[in-house]
Amino acid sequence: MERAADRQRRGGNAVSGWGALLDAMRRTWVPRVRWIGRREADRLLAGGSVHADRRGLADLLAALAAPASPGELRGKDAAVAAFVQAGGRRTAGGAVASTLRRALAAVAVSAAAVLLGAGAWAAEIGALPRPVQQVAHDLFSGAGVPPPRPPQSDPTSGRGEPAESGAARTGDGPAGTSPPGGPSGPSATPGRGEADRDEPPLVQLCRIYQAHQLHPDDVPMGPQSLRRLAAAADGAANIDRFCVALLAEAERDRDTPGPTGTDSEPSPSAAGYASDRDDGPRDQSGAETHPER
Amino acid sequence: MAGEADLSAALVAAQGGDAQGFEVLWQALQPALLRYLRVVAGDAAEDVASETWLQVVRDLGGFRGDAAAFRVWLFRIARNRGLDHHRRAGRRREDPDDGVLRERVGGGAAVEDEALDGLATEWALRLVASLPRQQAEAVMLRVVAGLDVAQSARVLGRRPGAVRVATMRGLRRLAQNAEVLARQGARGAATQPGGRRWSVQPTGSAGVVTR
Repeated sequence: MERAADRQRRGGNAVSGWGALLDAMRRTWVPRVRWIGRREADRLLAGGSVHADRRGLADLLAALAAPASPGELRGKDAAVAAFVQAGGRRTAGGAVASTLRRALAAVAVSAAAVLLGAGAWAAEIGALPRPVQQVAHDLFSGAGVPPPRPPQSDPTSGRGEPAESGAARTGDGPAGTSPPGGPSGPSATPGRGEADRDEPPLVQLCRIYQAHQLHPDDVPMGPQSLRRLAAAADGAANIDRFCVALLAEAERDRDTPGPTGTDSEPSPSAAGYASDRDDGPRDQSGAETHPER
Repeated sequence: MAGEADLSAALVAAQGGDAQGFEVLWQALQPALLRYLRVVAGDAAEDVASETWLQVVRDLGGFRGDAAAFRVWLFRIARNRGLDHHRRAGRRREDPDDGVLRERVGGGAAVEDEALDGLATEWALRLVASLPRQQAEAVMLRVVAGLDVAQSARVLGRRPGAVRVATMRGLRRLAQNAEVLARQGARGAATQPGGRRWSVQPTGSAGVVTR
């Protein structure tokens, strides 16, 4: 049976209808909060200072964006292991040393040594920054690059013998797994028994280019080699992506396929996973992809 | 939170195969990823995050773009994997209070300072996850993932205007949340302008603690 109150709630005559409305509002009263306009919203999102009556919301947003807790960083080793398994490489000395090592190793294999210009010369006279000098010494001690501290007692690790640098010296190889202080053989015999990674010159140039991007002061790059890369990449603006693609291919060609070898498709865009299409084009830069891809 | 880190160098290194570069990327982005996925995939956030990184590792060689584009790409993958997971698990996110989020914070309405051990973050995540999904996602991408409106729009597959509206609605709804206001009151901040007295009834709608 319907009661008067129910009828009112259904909006009977105007006056009692309002009363019912106010009753309903009072029952489900939510505290009235000052309206958030566009500018205040932007301020809140940017984390700026707010009026006192926004402190609760500001606290919430700050808590959302708070620094990582230890629990959230659990699983890092597993993630890095997955990366390595997919073809990545761990390096003992970190990103700086590994990139430099590859760049310097690439330089040693060919007459591209001259492209380093002042860098190679600085290495020879021991004028590079200390950690860089150490890496250079480890790779090229047989070519006469001295260590950062006073030369070792071994007589053949002294200066000179620049003629060795262009010869069959194969350097550490891009595998980069030897420890920095490793077999920095003082002998002048070319090579150290490492596998000869005779890479195409463009690949080496790209390595130098990437090292140069990261450490322009330590790894200078001459205009001639830049021009050569620009020609290969169809424009200086394309060098970045050209080198990323080229080096990725070089890694795939060199590394033995892992357990998930079928994942190493030459063209990622040809992946047959339907859901991949949801992720959008991998080329997020919005420009055309390089022709060879 | 993750917006400040300049990950360009790490991205270049990782694409060159350097594990250290990848580690920097992971460490910078995993926490934001986890928090965003709490809203999309609830309890399965960690699993979905792992799946996301596996796909990133697999396709990193073919990725083209700068660090900002990488961030968009990462969250886009995460969203898709999260939605896939939900579809597989047969769960639907239409009801904000469908209990997807396990309540990790013990006390209700704990207005004391909970900055220790990420408790405050847990509290905040729980409240955002109770918003309608589009608002929740927009707030998370803007606040936690460090994405601007255009980037968030690309992750969500919506127009920037819609993202802006969803974000504002989310903020407004959060501003009215009882726990948010209670926290503010307990901090001894000024009362509402005019000193209005108010009472709150549990309505069962989104934004109120339900057990």
